[in-house]
Amino acid sequence: MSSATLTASAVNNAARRGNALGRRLLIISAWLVFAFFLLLPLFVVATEALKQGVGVFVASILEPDAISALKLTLLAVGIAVPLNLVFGVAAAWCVSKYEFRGKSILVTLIDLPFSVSPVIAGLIYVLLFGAQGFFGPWLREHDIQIIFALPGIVLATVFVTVPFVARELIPLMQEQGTQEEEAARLLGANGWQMFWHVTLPNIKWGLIYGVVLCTARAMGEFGAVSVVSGHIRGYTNTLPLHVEILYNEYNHVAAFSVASLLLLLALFILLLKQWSESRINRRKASAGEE
Amino acid sequence: MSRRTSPVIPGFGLTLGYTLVYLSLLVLIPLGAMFVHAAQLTWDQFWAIISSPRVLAALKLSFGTAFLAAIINGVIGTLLAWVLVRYTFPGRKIIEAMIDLPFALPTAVAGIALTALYAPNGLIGQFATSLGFKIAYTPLGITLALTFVTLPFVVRTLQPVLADIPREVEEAAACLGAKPLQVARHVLLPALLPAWLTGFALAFARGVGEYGSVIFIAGNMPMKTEILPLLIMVQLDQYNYVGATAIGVLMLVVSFILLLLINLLQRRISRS
Amino acid sequence: MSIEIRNVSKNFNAFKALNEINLNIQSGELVALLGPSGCGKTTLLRIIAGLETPDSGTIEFHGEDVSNHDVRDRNVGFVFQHYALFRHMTVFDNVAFGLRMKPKRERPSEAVIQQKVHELLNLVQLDWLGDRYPEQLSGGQRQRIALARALAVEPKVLLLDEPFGALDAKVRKELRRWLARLHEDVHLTSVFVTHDQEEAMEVADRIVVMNKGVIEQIGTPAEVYEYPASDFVYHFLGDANRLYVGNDHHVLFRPHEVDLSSEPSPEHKAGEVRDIRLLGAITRITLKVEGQDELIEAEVAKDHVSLDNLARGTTLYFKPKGGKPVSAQV
Repeated sequence: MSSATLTASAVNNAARRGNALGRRLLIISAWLVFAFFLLLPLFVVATEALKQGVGVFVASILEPDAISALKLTLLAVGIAVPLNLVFGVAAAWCVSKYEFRGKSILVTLIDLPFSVSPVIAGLIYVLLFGAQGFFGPWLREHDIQIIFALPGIVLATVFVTVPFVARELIPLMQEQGTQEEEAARLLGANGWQMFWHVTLPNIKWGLIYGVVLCTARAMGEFGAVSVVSGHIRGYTNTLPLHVEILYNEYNHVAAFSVASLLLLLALFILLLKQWSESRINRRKASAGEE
Repeated sequence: MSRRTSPVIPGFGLTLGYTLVYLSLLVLIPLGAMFVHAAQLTWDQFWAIISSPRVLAALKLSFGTAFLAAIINGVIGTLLAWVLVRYTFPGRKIIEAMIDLPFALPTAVAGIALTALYAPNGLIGQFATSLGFKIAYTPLGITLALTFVTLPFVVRTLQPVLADIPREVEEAAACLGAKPLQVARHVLLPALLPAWLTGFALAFARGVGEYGSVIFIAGNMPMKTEILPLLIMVQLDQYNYVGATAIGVLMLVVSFILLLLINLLQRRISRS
Repeated sequence: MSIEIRNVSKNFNAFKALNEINLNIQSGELVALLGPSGCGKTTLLRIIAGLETPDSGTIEFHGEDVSNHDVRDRNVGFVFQHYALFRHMTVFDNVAFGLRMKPKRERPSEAVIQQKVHELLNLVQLDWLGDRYPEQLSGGQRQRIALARALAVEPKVLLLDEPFGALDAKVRKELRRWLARLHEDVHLTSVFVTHDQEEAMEVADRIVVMNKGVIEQIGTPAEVYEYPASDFVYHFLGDANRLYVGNDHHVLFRPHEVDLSSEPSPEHKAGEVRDIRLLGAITRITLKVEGQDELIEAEVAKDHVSLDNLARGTTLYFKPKGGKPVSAQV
């Protein structure tokens, strides 16, 4: 072996050692970032909630106002998510199965709510349906309350979660193309049969994934709901708003107890998300083998 | 070929019609109504509202902290994405699963948790206090809160792109005599930059509009730590709908101009 | 069931995919639509199936105009190029799909469906794969399942889009013989699309050669090969030599239709040997003729006398054999 190749391999080894060191440093810093930004806040919620023992924690969660806030949150989620689910499927269907002019504009519009501040989302409904809004006088005449009531909360929640399901489905359905649907039609299926038996099973996991993300956001929405809710305790308070009220009343333990309930829900949602994601990936992997 | 519109797949009119009506009723008409509402103001009135010192201070604060948070995410997001895609190590799965926590966690919960953490007597805040500065109730606290809620954006947009760059490309570059930094600059950077900008823009847009996680940690002092969305809220509480609308329009317009600029930049990069 | 295609045209924006196509397909016939990619053959097949609507013209099945019939009512079996099997259903459910989608009144009982699906799976020799999912099958198996699925609804017409395109060479050869045999048994009017002339020649009763949205020639494999109607058909159906003979005319002939000689003669033309390749039973010689850039290829038996002592750079004399070289304006 000549001295030149000797030096070269020595340099190579040094580089490899440098790589291993760099790699370890990167992994450690990733862990630190993770612990600092994500784990610490979780830890704080848990410790603050249990500061005065489990009894106080449980009592804060079972308190009537907290229960009615939970019910309202579930109700708002229960209305908003199915609405956006149907919308998401319809929007993804027309965007991914057909070519038409203005399609890219439509896709941009579907994403629009993501770049609008939640506070503005609340504001626009106040301007439309509030006491001084466009429809305010008419609504008052007919004794219909939207703002500071459930309909307003649902509207605001729907607005901020409009894009979630559509966004997950569009790329998935574009990738799958239209041949299986065509095959179903050729074999005599009508439109609904084609959708139920062929399309839906194919997009199932993407749909669940989108619904999970949509639910997470709907459950936790704060700014938009805060504008339209009026913060009437026991009536128009959702769980996140209830947390705010407790916190502002310096009832920190109760605030963190309710917050930890929301945190548990969030962790559960992460689990669901992970699960549906792994199903999508498995499907993709098996499709990739073809 | 298979992408071409097929006349045998039914539902085009139904789904497109439904999509358009739904979007119009829930998103487009209400947003348009805000602009109509703002049109009640003369230009001078509008200008007087948006150029008041308090609004300008909030504007600077909101866009400044959102920008800073997006930059921080650009760095740590790239780090996390790189480590998650390229290395296997203990705890990788946990980090991978938990990255999305800020999206799943209600922002109000994040807000009070971060405030408890960074308050002058908090777990981390006490160290700052002993060093003679404050985190919570300052722009620094706002930036940290925004960094938390927008953390997943850069990671999640970079990950798939990074996974798609075959390792052979880097190895080939290295075989051609490129040093690691040169590989990063000439091979990885051009491939990652468009996705990085997308993640940055998403984080930035979300940060500008963010409300729930910020109001607890901000302290909300006019001229100092009052963000734009909060200012809208304040106007609404005073039944000053016109003021709220003007600030809302200002926010939307500035956001869209910035997003448009980022979009143009992205196109130029991916074209070159 | 016969198929009559009358004056069918189809444009995609500015692109003329099909231009005034007229074609009659006899009952029980196996016809190949042959042409390069983009010639409109797949579009024509999809129009026959009802997956695409023509801009003008009509499609008749056995004299009945089906142009306005919905795709479900045409009763065609269609095999997609990439099979389009339902990936979330087992092989059995895939084949049973068409029967289960029938309106309640016409739908057979589950027992009948079971029996029928097993018959079909036996027909394609894959009865043992009923419980598998499409992703667990090989390409050739998927192909045959797609065929069984199409046959389940007892179509009157079978349409196949590049049926062997996605398979590797060996499986492709086996399957096309199998398909030809199957057609002899079932005797269903069948149309398949291909860009492979060998495949068309081996399987089809008649070949429809298409190019740029029009039909260049219709005929039996022998007819299109021996009596090509145009330069395009000649080139598309096999290797071809072009020899310029002056006055802007040229002669087309195939490499094996060459008479070679080491001695000059008035009828033979001189060429310089550029390459000699032994290809098993035959030998291919590449010749350069003065006055034209296109090389001439000649294929002769490997023990042909003209090959004795042949080396690169020597001169060889050749003459196109047979009395029917195509002569055309350049």
